[in-house]
Amino acid sequence: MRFWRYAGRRLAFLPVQLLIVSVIVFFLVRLLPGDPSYLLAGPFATVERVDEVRRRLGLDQPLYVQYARYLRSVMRGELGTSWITSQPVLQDIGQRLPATMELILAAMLLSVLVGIPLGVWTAVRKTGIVDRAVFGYEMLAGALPDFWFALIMIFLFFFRLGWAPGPIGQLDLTVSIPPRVTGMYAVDALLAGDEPAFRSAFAHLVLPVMTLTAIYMPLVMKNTRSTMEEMLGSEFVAYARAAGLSRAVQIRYALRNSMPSVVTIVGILFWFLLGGAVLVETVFAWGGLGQYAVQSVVSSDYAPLQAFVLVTAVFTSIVFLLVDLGYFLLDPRIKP
Amino acid sequence: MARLQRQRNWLPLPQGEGDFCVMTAGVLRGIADEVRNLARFSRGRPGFLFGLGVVALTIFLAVFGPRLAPYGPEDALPGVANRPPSGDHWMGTDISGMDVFSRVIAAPRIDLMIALVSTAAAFVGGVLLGVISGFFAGERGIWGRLSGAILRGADIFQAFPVFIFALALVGFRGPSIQNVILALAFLNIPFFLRLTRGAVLHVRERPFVDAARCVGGSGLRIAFVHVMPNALTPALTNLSPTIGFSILLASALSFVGAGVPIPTPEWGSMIAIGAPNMMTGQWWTALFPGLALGLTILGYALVGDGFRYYLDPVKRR
Amino acid sequence: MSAAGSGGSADALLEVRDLEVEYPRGTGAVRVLDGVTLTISPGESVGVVGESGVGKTVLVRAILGLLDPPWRVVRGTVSYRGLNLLAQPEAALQQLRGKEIALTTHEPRKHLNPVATIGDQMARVVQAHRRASRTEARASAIELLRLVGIPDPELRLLAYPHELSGGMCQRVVIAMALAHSPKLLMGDEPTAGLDLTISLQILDLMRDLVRDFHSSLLLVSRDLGVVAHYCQRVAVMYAGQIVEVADVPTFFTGAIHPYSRRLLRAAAAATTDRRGTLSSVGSRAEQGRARCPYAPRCPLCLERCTREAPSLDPIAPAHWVRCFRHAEIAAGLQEVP
Repeated sequence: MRFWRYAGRRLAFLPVQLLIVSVIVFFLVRLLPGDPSYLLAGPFATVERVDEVRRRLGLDQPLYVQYARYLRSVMRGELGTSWITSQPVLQDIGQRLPATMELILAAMLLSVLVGIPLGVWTAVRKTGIVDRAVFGYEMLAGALPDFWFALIMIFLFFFRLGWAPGPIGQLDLTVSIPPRVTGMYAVDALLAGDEPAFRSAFAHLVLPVMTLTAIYMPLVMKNTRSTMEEMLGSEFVAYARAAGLSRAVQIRYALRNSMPSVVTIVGILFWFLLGGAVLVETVFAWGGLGQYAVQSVVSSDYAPLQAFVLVTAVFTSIVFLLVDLGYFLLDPRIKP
Repeated sequence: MARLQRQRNWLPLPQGEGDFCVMTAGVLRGIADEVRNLARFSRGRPGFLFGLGVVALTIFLAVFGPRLAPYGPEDALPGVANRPPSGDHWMGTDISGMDVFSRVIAAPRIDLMIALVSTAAAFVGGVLLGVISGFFAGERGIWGRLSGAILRGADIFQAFPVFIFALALVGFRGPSIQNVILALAFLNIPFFLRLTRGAVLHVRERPFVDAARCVGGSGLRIAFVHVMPNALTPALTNLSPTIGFSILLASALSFVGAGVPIPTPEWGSMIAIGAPNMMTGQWWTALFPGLALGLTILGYALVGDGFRYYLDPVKRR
Repeated sequence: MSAAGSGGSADALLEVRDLEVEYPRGTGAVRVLDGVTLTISPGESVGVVGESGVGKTVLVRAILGLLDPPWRVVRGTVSYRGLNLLAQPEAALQQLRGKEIALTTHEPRKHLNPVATIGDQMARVVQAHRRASRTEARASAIELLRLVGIPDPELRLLAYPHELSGGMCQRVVIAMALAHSPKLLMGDEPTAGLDLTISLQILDLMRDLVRDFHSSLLLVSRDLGVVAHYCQRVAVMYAGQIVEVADVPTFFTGAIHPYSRRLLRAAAAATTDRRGTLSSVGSRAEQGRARCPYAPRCPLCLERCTREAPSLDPIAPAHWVRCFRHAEIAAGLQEVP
């Protein structure tokens, strides 16, 4: 009951947040040098098309009317048309979103499964060499550019060792796409029992996911470790020890108290991975949203770019909301 | 910082020649003291020294790099495309025949310029907003509301992942160096804002602020003359890592083609040029710029780390 | 009553001898405990009194072996029924803690796990030294909560520490400490931060339980009045050393050490507020040991006091004092101003 009250309160706040986000995205188009309707319609647009865009934007109307129009079209799913693909942006996004999600979810899963235990382990056992190696790795991972690291991985594992397939997207060219359930090729192949497709999809996933994980997992590990260290040194753990509770129980107490912080870090991980995915997708020609966004920037295709920013901001707001709810569930001290 | 506080409130201005000599001697002596402290501090810390070395090197290259380059950084030399590292070309040549080494050492100029300008702008903007937001936090009246609005605004911007927003800003305004600087400055403001706000919330509880109020200073005056100098530490310690991070962002933007235009030597765009080569085995085109980029960011981050300990009054061994 | 102070008797429960503990600082170290000697017999209640920072909490932690590096035990022994606790490995100490020697702490809410229910935490304490299922542990917890006077214990089991008042948290801590009927209960300022009425209730509770369980009590406090009321013997601590030990009646009628007398006067002056706190200036342990630590503040300080360190000597069967001029003071020849 307590939880639902809190959830209700946070959910009530969400539309306001999303509204403000939409205002910011709305103003992005105002940054364009020149006539937005020409630029949005694209260089191949006919006069009618440009007029259509201008009418839709309502550029002769006052600003708030323009915003209202924008909001209404977003609600209806009309995010404009990409002049590169000649398709509605919403459709483009729908086609590409699962690919990006597959990448991000896989990287998140791996980072959490590896990062949290490693963080706990290095906090509990403070051994000299491992500590220093871990610290060095964290510093490096924070400094090395992810797009460059992706290239190194390709060079090593594709060119030199021949273990991984080339960076040509999600599947080998000879393999057919499995029937679409989620849009994520590996998952769909699994569901359809299509072994060659699954193998191909999985093989193509390995390098990009490893790149993202190698660079962003240390974030989780570092934060888990510092929170655990803080908890292990806290007064209630010290008192638990004084009361005769075993080391295992002390660690359990510390771990449970670290959970809220760890959940927050996972949310921030998502935030980082969104940015990282854009770059990694470009390197691996992944065909996801990130590559779509980059193409839009490079070819001055503004409608998709605007929609992309909106979509990512909405996703991030939802993820942050989930993180807050998770935090609330894990920490009984927060008031609903 | 207490030292700074005293000086802010009462400046002994020189009057006459004798005073001027005293002032200069004092300043020089102070600088020498601080340098000596820093040297002693760095002795046991190889990471910090490495970082300082990197910072010094990048500044040196930013000034002298293009001049020291053996070949013109934007010269496409005929007939030597895609050569591996050799005696003539220490880091090889890229697909257009440009010498990689020359471009690698010429690149810091543009990256550092972008990073320095945007970070400086973000620092000034972020600190100002942070002081206002922190000092008037929780108060009624227009300033109180403003402080809340500033914080709320910074929060909302958090919904946009940094790189994506930078991409959008540059994308909509057009890829150019000025736009990259603008985008980076804009994005780093919330960061400095938050740091300063936290410090200000702390400092404003201190007794000397009440004392200043009693003497009858106006809110703004107290905020900027008394509180701000003592709340600068978190922002200052993060200057170096932010510069490093800005270099990374600028390179990432250039990599996707939304930053520094192509012929200008820039590490990110160099990696982009070398990307296809990586898949066909010519590793040098993209490797060296990336290595330089990574080491640079590492160096700036280590310096930031070191300064955090140095400026912290609890810096006992 | 057995002999107090150093040179303890054979049936002592806990014997601390010449305990020196230091903490590194800068290039040297601060000697926080400078030769503490104390004996507690079975069934005794001993109070340790001193200002903040004098080392009382460190003493308690040292006894239980809770001082990790960089803290260092330089010298001394802590004998529990003949067993030297300082030489035991962590596993052995863990067996003793909570079972033989239990600790209650000040600011109990800070020392409880904030994200676990009281029931969970108490069950774990019960299960630490006894094989018990969840239901058995839960039943024990309810009994213990009832024992410490918490109403509706079944409901309290589901509460979190932040939902309980300070007094209730302290009762919970006491309940946890008594879960295994320890032979020695150490109370580290159990009433710090609590209201006066609650403090009295807590102290009464501790005294009664200790009596019912036939345990010994080591009560650490800054409040001389508390010690007077609830303990049989008093040890006064100053600058990391015990400077006087006596049974309570003797102490309150005829304390010898100038510092003890000062404490008594301060306590008497603060009659309206039993928790009269004294300034802690000068009471921390000092480096040099070639003098009486109280010399700088002592009104009766002689030249000898600045050159030599007095030892803790018995001046009567149950009365030990660390002062060169004890004879004069005792004979009333010297009025301590």
